[in-house]
Amino acid sequence: MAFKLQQVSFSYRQARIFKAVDLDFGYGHFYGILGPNGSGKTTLLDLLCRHLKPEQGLILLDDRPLDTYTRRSLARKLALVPQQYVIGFPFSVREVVLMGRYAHLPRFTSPAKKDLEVVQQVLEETDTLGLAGRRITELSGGERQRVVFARALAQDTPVLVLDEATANLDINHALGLMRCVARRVRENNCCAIAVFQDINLAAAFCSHIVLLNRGKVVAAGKKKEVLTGSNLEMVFRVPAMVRHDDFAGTLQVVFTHGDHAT
Amino acid sequence: MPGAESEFSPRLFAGKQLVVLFLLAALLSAAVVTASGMGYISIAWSQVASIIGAKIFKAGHWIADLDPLLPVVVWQVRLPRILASAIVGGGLAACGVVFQALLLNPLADPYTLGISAGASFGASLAIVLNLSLFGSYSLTLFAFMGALATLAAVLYLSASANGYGSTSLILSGIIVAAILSAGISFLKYLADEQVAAIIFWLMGSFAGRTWPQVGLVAIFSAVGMAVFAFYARDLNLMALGRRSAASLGVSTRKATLVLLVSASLVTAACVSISGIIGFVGLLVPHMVRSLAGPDNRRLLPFSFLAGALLLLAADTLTRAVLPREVPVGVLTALIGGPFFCYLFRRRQKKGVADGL
Repeated sequence: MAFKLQQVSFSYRQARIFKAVDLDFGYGHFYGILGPNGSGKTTLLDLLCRHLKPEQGLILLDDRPLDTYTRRSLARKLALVPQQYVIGFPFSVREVVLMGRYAHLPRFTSPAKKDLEVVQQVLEETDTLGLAGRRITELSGGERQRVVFARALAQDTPVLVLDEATANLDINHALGLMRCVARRVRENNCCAIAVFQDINLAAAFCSHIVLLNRGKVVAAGKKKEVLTGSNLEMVFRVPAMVRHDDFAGTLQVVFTHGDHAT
Repeated sequence: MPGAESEFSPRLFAGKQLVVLFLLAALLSAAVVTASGMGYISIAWSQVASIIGAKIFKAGHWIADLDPLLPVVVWQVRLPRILASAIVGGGLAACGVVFQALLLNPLADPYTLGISAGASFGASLAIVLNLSLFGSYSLTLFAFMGALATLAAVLYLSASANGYGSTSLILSGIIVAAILSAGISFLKYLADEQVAAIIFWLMGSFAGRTWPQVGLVAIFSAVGMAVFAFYARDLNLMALGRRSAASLGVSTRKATLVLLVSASLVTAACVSISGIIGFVGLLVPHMVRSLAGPDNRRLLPFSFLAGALLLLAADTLTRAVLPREVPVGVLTALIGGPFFCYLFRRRQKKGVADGL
């Protein structure tokens, strides 16, 4: 088991976000976290990445309490692709991706041949090799997002956490990024945990779904069992239907749109 | 675009940059010797070199046939002042690099957190109350204690459960500095004939600096630079955001606190012996960044050397070249300000909006 959450509670000031949440995340699975705005999706990721500490309960990573890891050893277990980030200094793309190797490099050492090879490989994998010499400050939002994704891959961790990582990407690169993650899950037996706004993207790539609403786990388990019209309608309050789409080649969700232009 | 990548090298100081680094160090040594020869009494550089050599290696016979006044002029009068200006310039420039990366703000400098206001308040207090608790070093010590108290207040104000955020640090610095500058105004109002002394101190000067003062700032700068070097790579990662850095394996809370305190201590030591010298800490990191790139491991040594060279040149200009001594803080702002405008304008025209 990669992550195990036991009776985890967390609150911002008075508002309680999580109350006694139990969740398991295993290796070899791709988890999609879905839920309406303010349901606690990002808070869940923050707890997993130890940006926030649970007020009660325990989070285990590889059967060890999360707070017993050093930042460095945690960064060798788990990589985060954040949604927002500041880049105010003109590092080159290759330098930024190389920063992903930080936790593997002892202080005052130059990157070894292996580190440079890993960087080269993830640049190719994420279609950012053409950007490698450019300054990160000169890139568009979507290009930066791909670079930050490449940096997370360079960390070479068994657990990958993505916070709406495809939000700024065009459909081609969004699918490409998701395929990368799915391949790591399949081939390296990684555990991927991703927050989605786009339910259909989750439906296409995830093996498991966690449905959150108001800080509670409404449903968690295999995609086919969780992703049902009634579950989605209950959480998002929009009539929904889930079906296999032949053109997409996977499960897809359609919603009743109400008033719309013709 | 493989061609665009020729500048990348996994080695820290590759070819050209290593040459420039050595060049800067050589230039700085040459500047120290040349400046020691310049002044009211002009001394040949070979004589200066033998005086310095004789003092360092305790070889009195090297300068036995020299006018006995010259070693006193070089060793007791000029050299402390020259070294003080070089170390303060280097220290402020290196601290500028650290503060800009730590506060995620290209406009930050060593004074952003109000260290300078604290030192000024301490010095003004010592002048107004005519305190001479610690003899001739009262002013330096009071300025230093003022800076430390300010740092403590700023850290106390900005600390939150998630560590020290850059915006809350800047805001706390501005608030504390505003209160202190009102306090300085009040002290000036209270002071009679000492007003001139306060104003003169605030303008910054290296006139009449002594070896113990050089020692103070040298020790703080050396320890500070060692700490900066130790954390330089963490600083690179933190310059791209705290959360990001934490997920890449940096203990951000600890690194922020250690860097903040050490950079503030170096700044406090610099300000307390020199007064307020603006623009070095803001300008030099920007100038050097265009040469060495954004990597703090390169930026720090380059900035130290460039800052040292710059302030030493400015102080020598006002001491030995200009017909009347202008406070060096005024000079750096008068020359540095327009130069900064020029650099900034040139960059804006090129359209690199956030390259600073």
